[in-house]
Amino acid sequence: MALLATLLALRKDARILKIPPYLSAFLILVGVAWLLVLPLNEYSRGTYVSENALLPGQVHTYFTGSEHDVFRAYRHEVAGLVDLPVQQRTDKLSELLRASNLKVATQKYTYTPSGRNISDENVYAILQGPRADATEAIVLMASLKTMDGEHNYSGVALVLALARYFKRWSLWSKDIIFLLSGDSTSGPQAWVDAYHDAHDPTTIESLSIKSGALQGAVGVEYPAGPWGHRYDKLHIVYDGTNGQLPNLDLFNTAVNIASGQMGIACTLQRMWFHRNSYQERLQTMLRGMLSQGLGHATGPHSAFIPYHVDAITLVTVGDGWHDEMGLGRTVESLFRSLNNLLEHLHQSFFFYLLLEAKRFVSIGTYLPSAMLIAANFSIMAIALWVQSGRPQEPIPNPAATKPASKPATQDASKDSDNKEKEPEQEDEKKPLESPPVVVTKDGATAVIPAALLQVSERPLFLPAAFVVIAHFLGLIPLAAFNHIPVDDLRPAFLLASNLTTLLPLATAYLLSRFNRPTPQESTLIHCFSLLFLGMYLSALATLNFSQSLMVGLLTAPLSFVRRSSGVGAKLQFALLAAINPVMVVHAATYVGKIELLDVLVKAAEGWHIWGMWTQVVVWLVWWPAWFCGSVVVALGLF
Amino acid sequence: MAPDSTHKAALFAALFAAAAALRLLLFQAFPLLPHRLAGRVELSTPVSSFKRLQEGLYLYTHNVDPYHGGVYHQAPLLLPLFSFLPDASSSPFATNLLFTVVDLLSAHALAQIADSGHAAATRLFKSSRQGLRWSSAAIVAGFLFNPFTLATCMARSTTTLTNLFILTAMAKACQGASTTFLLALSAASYLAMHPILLFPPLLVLLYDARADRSKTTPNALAFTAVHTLGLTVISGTLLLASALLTDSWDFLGATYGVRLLLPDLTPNVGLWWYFFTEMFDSFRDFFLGVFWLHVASYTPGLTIRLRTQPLFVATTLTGIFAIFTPYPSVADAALYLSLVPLFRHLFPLMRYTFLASAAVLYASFLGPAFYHLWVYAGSGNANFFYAITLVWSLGLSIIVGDSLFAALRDELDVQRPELRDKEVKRI
Amino acid sequence: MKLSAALAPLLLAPLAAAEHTSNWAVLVGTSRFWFNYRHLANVLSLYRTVKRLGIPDSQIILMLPDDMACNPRNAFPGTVYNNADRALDLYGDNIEVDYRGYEVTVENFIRLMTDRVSEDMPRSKRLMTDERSNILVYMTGHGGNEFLKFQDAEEISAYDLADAFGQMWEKKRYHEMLFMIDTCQANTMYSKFYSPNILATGSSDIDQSSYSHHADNDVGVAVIDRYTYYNLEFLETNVRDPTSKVTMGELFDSYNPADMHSDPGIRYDLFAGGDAGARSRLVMDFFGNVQNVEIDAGSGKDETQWREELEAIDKMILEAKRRHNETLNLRPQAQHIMEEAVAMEPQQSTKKPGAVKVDTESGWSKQIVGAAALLGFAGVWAAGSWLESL
Repeated sequence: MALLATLLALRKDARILKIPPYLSAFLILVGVAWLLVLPLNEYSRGTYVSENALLPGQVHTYFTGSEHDVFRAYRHEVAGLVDLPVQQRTDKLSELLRASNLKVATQKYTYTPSGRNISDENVYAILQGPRADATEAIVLMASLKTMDGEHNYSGVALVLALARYFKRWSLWSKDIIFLLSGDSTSGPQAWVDAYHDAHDPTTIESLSIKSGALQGAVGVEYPAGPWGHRYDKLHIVYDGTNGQLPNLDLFNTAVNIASGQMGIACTLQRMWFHRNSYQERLQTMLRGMLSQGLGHATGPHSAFIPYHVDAITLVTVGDGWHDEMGLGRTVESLFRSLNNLLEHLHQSFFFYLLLEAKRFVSIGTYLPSAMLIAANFSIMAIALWVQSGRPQEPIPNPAATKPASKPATQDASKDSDNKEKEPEQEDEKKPLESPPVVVTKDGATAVIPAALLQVSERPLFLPAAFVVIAHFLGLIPLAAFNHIPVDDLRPAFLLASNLTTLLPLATAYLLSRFNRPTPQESTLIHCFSLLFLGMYLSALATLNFSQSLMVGLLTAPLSFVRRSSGVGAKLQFALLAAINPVMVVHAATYVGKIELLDVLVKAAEGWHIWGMWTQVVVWLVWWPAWFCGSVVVALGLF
Repeated sequence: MAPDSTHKAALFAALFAAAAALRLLLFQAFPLLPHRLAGRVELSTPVSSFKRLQEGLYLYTHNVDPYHGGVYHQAPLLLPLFSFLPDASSSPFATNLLFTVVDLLSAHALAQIADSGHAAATRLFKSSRQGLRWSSAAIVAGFLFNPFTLATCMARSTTTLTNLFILTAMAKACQGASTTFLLALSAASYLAMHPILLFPPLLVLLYDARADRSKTTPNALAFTAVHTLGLTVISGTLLLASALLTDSWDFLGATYGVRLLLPDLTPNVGLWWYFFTEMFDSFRDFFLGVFWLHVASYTPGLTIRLRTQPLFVATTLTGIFAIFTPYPSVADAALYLSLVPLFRHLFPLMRYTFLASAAVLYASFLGPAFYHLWVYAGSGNANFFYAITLVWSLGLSIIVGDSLFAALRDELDVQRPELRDKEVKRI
Repeated sequence: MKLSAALAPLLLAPLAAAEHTSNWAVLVGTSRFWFNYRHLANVLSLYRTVKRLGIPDSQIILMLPDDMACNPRNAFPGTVYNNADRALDLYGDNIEVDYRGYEVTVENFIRLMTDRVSEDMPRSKRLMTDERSNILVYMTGHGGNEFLKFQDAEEISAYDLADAFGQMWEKKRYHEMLFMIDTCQANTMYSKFYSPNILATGSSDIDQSSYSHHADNDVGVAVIDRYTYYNLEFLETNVRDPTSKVTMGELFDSYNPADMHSDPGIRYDLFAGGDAGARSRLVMDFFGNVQNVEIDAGSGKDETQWREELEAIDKMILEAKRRHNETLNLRPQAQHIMEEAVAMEPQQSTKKPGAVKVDTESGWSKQIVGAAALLGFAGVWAAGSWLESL
């Protein structure tokens, strides 16, 4: 209590209000600097396999010799069927799997995001562990098309060959499911949704056979044609939908087996050449954060992670000397390790940033940076709240010899302006010049202007309603962009860019015409919007750190804009117009040389199929905060 | 006066219509939402969950003791009530309508409380700031459109019924209507047990209201005796009817026993569950006693200290219930937060409103996020969620403590007007 | 005893060994799960060794918390190997596990050692030693500073162990004891012992791990720990038969910290005769079963008496067989079953508690009671409000 009382006394100090902007800026700077030091050896750690049961690379692998011929035969079969109609292709694949003595089933699915029609069919087979109790299963999968749209000939052939090969072992303690999906994201999504009965049975077929709880999933992408292709490295893709990550142990096991046992170098986040320098570590980390922050599906494994099934995809890259059998043995050894598991992977980290294949930063080390940035908004919200409670009248300087008979005039005309128009908020009339109050405490007596002690009543209704409405307004573009057909997406986006830029101006104009918000009210609007933003971002930081950080950095200027008039307001408004979420997306596609339409189509696909929340964050967190900030600034223009 | 009252009636009609329309629209537009919300631990506790009610209902309509199986822990008389409605899983409209109507009736009771003016001016006490108040329409709007109330209604938690009876009991006490007050309070206590603790302050309120109305002070002892007897008789009748309905007295253990002894440690927003998961069994009974004693001790203390402001005591007790009872949910907090605006005159004296509301807001967003991390993503654990329930309880207890401070300060201002607007310290 | 221990180096070894009359072994693995294969292999290796050297199954208490042979992950079902050459199947077909699975707990272990067991405990699960018994206690699992984990669920501390042995001494349950432990920081486990005549040895010092020796890449796990491996190697090569005169000192001298990757420890101070006394003990005093029978010369029973007794027993057996055959002839088997069925019937007809007829038809009386209660409440409410409005 004493501490609180001291703090309360402190808030009466006028100087205290000067601090928060600097403090906020400082927090943002520290947050960014924090990120930059993470790649250093002092702040990152070497990876290690923490789950005892995994025992990576402790087994001999026997996927060699005659299996190679089997694999080549499968590859020719697959090459022959990729261009067949879906039904025939499914029949052929089912037949191949059935020939290996496995239980086979198929699943048709149809999605219609943005008026497009995505429909295909999954084929899967279940290998029942000969001595297992069928309560757990692990998944090996390959999609017919890779993420880059190539035919995944060798990947599919490898799954077929391994299915045949695994069937001959008696040591599986879990069932193994081999999944051959139509495409690399929707197919696994439809399958894993149906596996957990979370699908819409009208468009997605239910699964006719199932096994136990999924414990892990591994995807294979090896787009080498019927005549093979020797690769250089394995690219391990691990980002799940909404930035959720698989347990680090799975990644470590894969790296450990591939590089330690098989001698295949591993790479991640499309860093094909990694010399483990500071720049490259930082670049890897930032790419990882970008990928995580976008929250998109990055491979067939992404669909599994939201269901708490740890999953990765192994992609072959480059030209080198490793052949398909090396990949096959890697998968074999990886499955022997997963087979050893006694429970879900839980020992290692779920929140991490990888710097290279064998170095990572754990959540305790990196989370503060996002939290600092989220905290900056909360601090500014508190500061604005305190400021809004300050009396509007200037406080006479008690130490001044000149009696403060007339209000100080330096405080711009707008203040007195407002005072004339603003009706007295409360029935208790405040005298223009408050009489001094005598305070006696601990025997000492002080004379303090009453204004310092008063907390003026805040008009809460308009600001609160405004901020809430702004958040609801975000629902309109959210719904629109998820339902507009492909052809109209681009025009709609351009329309949205113009509308969102003009909307704050129009709102501010209308507000000032009809309601004339007082500076106190605009401060409160600002305060509430920052409070909400801080709250959302700190909650988001726990779910998707990178997204929270990205949104936090892009909205950071909102902490510092103020309602002012003249050039200041125009400059601030111009700055805000540049960080309009729509504009940022525009700029990002330009910088990243990505087709804008692709982004919009993928976003709608993400919403409808993958269950991606990025759009929600953009339209219901980022955009309302930007809108409120812009209106506050724009109010100064009128 | 007449045009004013018609204006007010129209305003209320519009408010109620809007609230009902919003609820029914949400029920209709998102048919999966009630199911989702009913599964949230923040809204549905073992003693108020609609899913468990349906479970009990199934057993009841199939001639099996509804308390067999240990899932259903709610009052027996809810069963015939819901068994007369069409099955909620196939045709939910009637159930949805019932919960909507319950909310509207609660709002009506809240309006009556607000109109009675007992919040700021009672028989023995007139606040110096009694002019400062919100209209009953604003308070009712605050209740009906409060996201917490809405969510509770959508989750169809049976706490809404308890809240209805608590609010009605308060309203009837404000009006000095003894019979219906006793009926409402008995019903509330019958449903949730702990509202019985509201009896002392509400009895004082009833006494004041009666004294106000009849301009004579009834004999306090006789008054207390008669009403205590009335409460006992009505509660006894309700329990007897329940026993007849279920053919045994076993329901006592399955309903009140569960509330008292906390056998079901499903997480909720309260403080008990985590504590008792960690508790050594040998100390369990002792701490159960201590925790219950702690909850119960507020009633006599506050009633005696603030006997001149019984409505404020009752309100504060609902806040205490929302924090310290074994199975609190957001619904309990919704009741408290809807009652707090009655005391608008205390707001200028409250000092941590921003801090408290920020804590409650943050907790209501971080809570589900952490629960998701714990239960669904598997990347967090129970400590994450418990930390947030601590923040939630902290936010609520700041409001409780701060409003108590404000009430005492207000009292001081009346007793010693010369101290008004001076800094004071709580010692 | 003191005297003989002090004189031990001077006297012939058989004389010193003559003081115990039975040998027991308690072999305890404390960890479950497939990746701890090696701990079970350690225990089974020791089991095999003591059996080889003559301790019978009835005097070996084998505690195995998990069944590796039947684990689905085992590429060679039904076997446990302690070497990648897989020359010797430790599981074989001649193995008696006394405490298995979840029976392997700290409580059961301490009860076993101190013989605080209920009367109906089978003899195979009891350690029936006396003050003339030498006991070998071998433990392996995951441990730490002054504790050893049991099954990932609980631990035994060095104090618990010391107290258990202390109690055993008080209850005259052992003559001499060899305590061996193979776990991380193993030497801390015997640091708290205080009862006499215990010779203790462990695999690693405080803050040292105990390492596995090698893995079998087809089984996919490590198959034996280093300390146990080198102990076994010594026993296999130097103690070939029960007449071996190899001393404990020779065994301890064979320990090579470089091989074991840890510093094995030996504690002599509790042993009568200390360092020298302990080192001169034969390995066979603990690992073998040397039956030093002491003949009670004062008994006056002659040979004819026990022959007569034997004949009497033979007669009794014959009589019992005859009676049994008679009953078989009298009652055909079918009738026998009929009778059983009749006996069963009244049991079945008793009403099972808890099972209730489930049917959708709801009882009208119940519905009426419910409706009456609700309507009654509403009616009282209406009446109450009407009265109040008057």
